[in-house]
Amino acid sequence: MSTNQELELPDKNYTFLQLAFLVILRMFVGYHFLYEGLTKFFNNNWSAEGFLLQSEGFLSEFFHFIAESPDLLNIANYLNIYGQILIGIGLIIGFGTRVASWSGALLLLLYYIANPPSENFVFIDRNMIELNAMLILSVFNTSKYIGVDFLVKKMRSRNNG
Amino acid sequence: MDDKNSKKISRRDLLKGLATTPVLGYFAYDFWKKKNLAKIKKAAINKELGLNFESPLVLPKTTMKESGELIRIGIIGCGTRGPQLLKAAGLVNPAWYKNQLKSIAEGNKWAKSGLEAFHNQPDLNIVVTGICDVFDNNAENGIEIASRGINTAGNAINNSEIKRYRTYHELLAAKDIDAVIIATPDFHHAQMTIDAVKAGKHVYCEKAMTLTENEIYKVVDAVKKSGVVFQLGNQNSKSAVIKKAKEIIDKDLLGKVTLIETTTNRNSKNGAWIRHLDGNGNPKPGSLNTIDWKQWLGNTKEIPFSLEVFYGWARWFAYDTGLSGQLFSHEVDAINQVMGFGIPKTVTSSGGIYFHKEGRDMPDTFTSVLEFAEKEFTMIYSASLANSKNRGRVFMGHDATMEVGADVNVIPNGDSTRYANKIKSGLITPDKSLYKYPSGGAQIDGITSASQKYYAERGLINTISEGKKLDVTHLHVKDWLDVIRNGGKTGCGIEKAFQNTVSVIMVHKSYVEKRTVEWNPEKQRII
Repeated sequence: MSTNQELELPDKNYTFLQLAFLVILRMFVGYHFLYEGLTKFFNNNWSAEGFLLQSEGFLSEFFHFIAESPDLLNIANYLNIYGQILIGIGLIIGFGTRVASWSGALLLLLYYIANPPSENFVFIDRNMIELNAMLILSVFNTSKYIGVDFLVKKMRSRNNG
Repeated sequence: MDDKNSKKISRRDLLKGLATTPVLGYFAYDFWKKKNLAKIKKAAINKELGLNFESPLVLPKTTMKESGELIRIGIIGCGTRGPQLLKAAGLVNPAWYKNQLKSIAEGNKWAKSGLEAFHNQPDLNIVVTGICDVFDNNAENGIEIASRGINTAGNAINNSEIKRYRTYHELLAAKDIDAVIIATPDFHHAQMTIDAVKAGKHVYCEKAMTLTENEIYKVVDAVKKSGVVFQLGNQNSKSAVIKKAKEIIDKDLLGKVTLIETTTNRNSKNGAWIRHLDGNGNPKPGSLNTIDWKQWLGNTKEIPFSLEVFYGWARWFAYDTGLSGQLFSHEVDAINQVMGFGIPKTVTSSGGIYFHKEGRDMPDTFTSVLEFAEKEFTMIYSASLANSKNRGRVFMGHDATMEVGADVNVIPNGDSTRYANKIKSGLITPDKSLYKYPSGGAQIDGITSASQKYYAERGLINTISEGKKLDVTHLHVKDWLDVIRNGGKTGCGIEKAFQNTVSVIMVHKSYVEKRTVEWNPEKQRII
């Protein structure tokens, strides 16, 4: 915890533009996640099955195993739908941002491993770029300044005081 | 705690805390708009097309009664297709069944899908009482299936009535046989059908029905005179996809269709009918001790025993009409059902043996142009036995294109007259799928062999009937049995069989005689 606190940059170390662009990045990534999650939520036929079955990477057997077990597949579907929705909302309003961005990064890592770009030799794809954006957001936490997390912290410190 | 954070929450703090929250509001608006637009678009398209995503009825309602009295069946020819037809009728070899269960346990999806379709089959209330095959191994396999086979409920049956007959004439003379399934090599079909209907047996005959034009008239005449129930093995007529395609044509959603292209692409030895060797390159079973070669040859020229001919007869014109009888026959049946064209006006075929030079008559590269001058469209069939690209089956209309394979896909044309306004207003996007059945596309399950993949891609294996996955061949056999019990018309009865076979013979005749052949409707003859 103490190392974390040492790493937390004081307000004045973010210039206005740095903070602004980081918050915009946070909202964009959140927007995208929320959209993906809600689309799946409203599409009654959506299931991760096809995506998992197509898996070709080195963990493909593991993903196939999930797809072929109805219970595990159900869990994977719920985690995907509600995970994406909650991460999306979290990033947009700046609530639980650190948890949201780390779990977003984890989800994207799974998507990337399940279906890595194999057709050509470029290993950077959209998932990889968004994954990196998530990692940036998790280490440059902006919700301490702009976002509900800031209010929560404020209220806590008032109550503690 | 940071000194700068005062204990009180100021208006400025609130602003900082909630600054990005309104984005959620904008998101909601954006999302709703997109969702609504998609909904409006879909509703408008569906209204325009007048189509739904429900599965069409693949069997006529009148014949869909519970299975009535027991029907006693005789099988003539029990090699590859015979056991498949027995499976369609509700019986499989116990060892094969056990093997499938093992494959499923090992994760073979093709086996799983095949067995699921088998278990979905209703009991057809039949018993197999006679088997005739010139090859001992085939006959023994048939007897095993008929006597101790596994039924669709997964239980072993016990039938002691089964008898092996040495010739099909003896089988036809048997009193305890009501109906026969003919699954011999093609060159036997015509005579066997004629003899069977004369013996008063109902007939399910595999395609192709005949090898020559003259045989067509003899078979048609014999079947019509006999009054038995006849079904030609063009199982495509039970495919929900074909029914949907017909609905689309009937509703004129493609505009005027002037060109239809249909294809065969296979690139394996099996797919080119080189079949006398097993997977390890060793000869498959069979010798003069186990095969009645003379009976197999029938009326054809006497030749020394050949395993290559026995397993790969389709390659020689003495025994088959080649690609025309084997695969074009399915294509012409599918397209005839959709378009209802009957018989082409003229046919011009050409091709050659450019790849499989082991010694054969059947071309490995083949094209046939069928002209329907009065109906104003052309159909092109082209085949390659040296390439496996799935080129599908395409109906080209002025307003849209329809691809029909394992699924139906309608793609509007940018220059369409009918859809011009909708394209202008953005409701319809040219060159993008407008309608797909089954919605989301067909699931072609994991498939083991190249030839199986070919049949699945052309909708010749499974279909959906009343929400259940079923083998189209099962539906075709059921249709035949239903009509035997309850009356009515079979899906590929003698009239349809006549039209399809005339087309098949025209395609073949044009290739062999290297000329354009014509159908004379007055004389009812090919000229």
